[in-house]
Amino acid sequence: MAKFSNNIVFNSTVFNKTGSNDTDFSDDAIVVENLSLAYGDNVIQQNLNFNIKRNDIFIIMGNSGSGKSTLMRAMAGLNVPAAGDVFYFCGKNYNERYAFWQSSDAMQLRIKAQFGVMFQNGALFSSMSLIDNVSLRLFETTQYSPRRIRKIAAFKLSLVGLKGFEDYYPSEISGGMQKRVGIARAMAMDPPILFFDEPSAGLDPVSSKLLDDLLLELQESMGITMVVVTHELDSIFAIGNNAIFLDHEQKTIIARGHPKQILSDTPHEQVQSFLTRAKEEELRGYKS
Amino acid sequence: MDNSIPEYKITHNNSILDIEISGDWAQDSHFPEEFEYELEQQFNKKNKIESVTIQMEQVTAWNSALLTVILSFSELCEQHQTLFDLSQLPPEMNHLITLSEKIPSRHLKSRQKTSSSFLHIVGTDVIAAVKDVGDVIEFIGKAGVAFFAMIRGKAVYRASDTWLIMQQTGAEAVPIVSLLNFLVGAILGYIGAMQLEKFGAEIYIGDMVGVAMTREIAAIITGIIMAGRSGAAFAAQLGTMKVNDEIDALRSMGLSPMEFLVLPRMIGMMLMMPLLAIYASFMGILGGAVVAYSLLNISLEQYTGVVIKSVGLNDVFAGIFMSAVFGVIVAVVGCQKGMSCGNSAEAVGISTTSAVVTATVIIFICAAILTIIYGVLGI
Repeated sequence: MAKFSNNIVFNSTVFNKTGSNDTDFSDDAIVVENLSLAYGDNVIQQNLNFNIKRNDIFIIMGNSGSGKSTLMRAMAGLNVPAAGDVFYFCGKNYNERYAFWQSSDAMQLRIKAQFGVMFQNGALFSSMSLIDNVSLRLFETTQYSPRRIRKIAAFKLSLVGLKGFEDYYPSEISGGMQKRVGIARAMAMDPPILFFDEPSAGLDPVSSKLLDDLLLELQESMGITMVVVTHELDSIFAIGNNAIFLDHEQKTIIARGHPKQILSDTPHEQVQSFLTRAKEEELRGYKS
Repeated sequence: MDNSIPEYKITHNNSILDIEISGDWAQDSHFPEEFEYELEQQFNKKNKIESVTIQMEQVTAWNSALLTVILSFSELCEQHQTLFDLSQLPPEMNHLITLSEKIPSRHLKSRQKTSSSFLHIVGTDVIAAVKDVGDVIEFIGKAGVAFFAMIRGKAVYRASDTWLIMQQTGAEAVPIVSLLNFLVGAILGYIGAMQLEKFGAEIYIGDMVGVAMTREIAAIITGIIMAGRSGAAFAAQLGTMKVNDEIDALRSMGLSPMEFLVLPRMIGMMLMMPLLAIYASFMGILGGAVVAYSLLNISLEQYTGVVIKSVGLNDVFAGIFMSAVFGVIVAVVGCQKGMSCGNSAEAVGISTTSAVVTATVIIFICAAILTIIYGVLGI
């Protein structure tokens, strides 16, 4: 039966493979090994090791300043890590493992075709209409006809509920809509992996819930692996099926697993208070 | 059958249209764009199509591109009241189609593209230009109010900002002002020398360069440099502050952006421009001296003597006044463009460009007007 294909199938003869068995079918989409993050001499996180399964919605959580977004940026090829590497699994059976930061620039570009990134505020190009924002990457990196590209981009906008807004400009739509366009743009190339940096930040609870539902729907329909940086508790429990908690004092991961499992099993007080704080405040609000 | 190539077969079976798709449809380089066109053409044929069947069992991979073809054809079938049962599609494809139609959209309306006539465009531009002039006049008025508030000691601004702007617009501009005015003085001297040589009046090169640089050229060249350098910086700084809501933050604190942001820039430019223009005059005269000494064998003593004799205090003050006016123009235009900037990165770029172009044009117009006034008043 037909399979939805997330993007480019890598030609294994062209690229450097680092370790791993070529014939095995890998469950992993991303493996992070010994990753350390720093700004100059200021180490933010060190020796991070974790893997993200395909089709997972993987949550990176932690307090402000713990390096959540920095980690996501290192995984998405935007910030060079101080040490370690991020491995991506590509190929028809996802059995080819590529180290992103050890790869050549050309190879990095091809690995980048495996994922899309949605930034906190959408990061839309203000001088372009919404459809131009979504179709930019298709125009520059594929051989589809302009008509096809426009149709693909319009379809992606309809997936995020923005049919009819194709010719609008970012300044003419709300912040929540801009975030949804950001998702459509990230999905333009049908990537198997999507990164989200604080998708619910700045949204009202209803819009936040709609966005969470959208991510779940997209994950279900397209089988996309999602890596979500957030500290919105409702989102963490609603969409996450795997998570890590970054601690800014120990500068490493102090909890991992399903969010509910972390909440029930973690011995760390700061993780407990992080995951229960909002609930307490919510209850306090009801009582008062 | 080659599984790596996307293939399709369209057959008519009485009133039923059979579509058979196979192969890999996920590769952009092999995507058959004609497929959609051929599907559309089926409705132009004589046979009426009552229903459509689609078989995708042999498809090894697909992505949004194939989905858009099927969606377009599905819409076409709907228009022709032809039955196209989407449940025949792979479940993932069906799920995506459902999702694209499911998510509620507020304010669902398509934007109509309007084409404008030439007259409409001209009219709109003229109205915008008149409004711009009105905005500039209003801004000058507000800047004037802020300036008088400062004189009365009632303006709220930070003196440290003024010093910083004086450093940025004054001391840091010295290298570029030196270079350009030296070269302009040298060029003026060289061209003048070629003409004066015909009359044996080479010695008057000092007279020509000295008076021209001191009265006007140094002020104009420095004004243009400052428009490109500091005026652009003012527009970009204030424009970015507006985009980041920093100007609204000032207003919310009860502080006047005109006093807090514009005033220090105006004072800095008004004070620094005359100093830079005086310095620029010296650099221009120096450029002329180099040409006179190296090409015309005029000694430095002779050249300096002619310059001192020909350049009067009236010339110096004419140049200083002109440069102060240019300083105000650069500061006002740069700040006004920044403060009226839109809320995007593109708008900041537009404001910056507009600040440089507008200030340069106004500088030349003012230079011409002042020259005539000086002439009439015998300065």
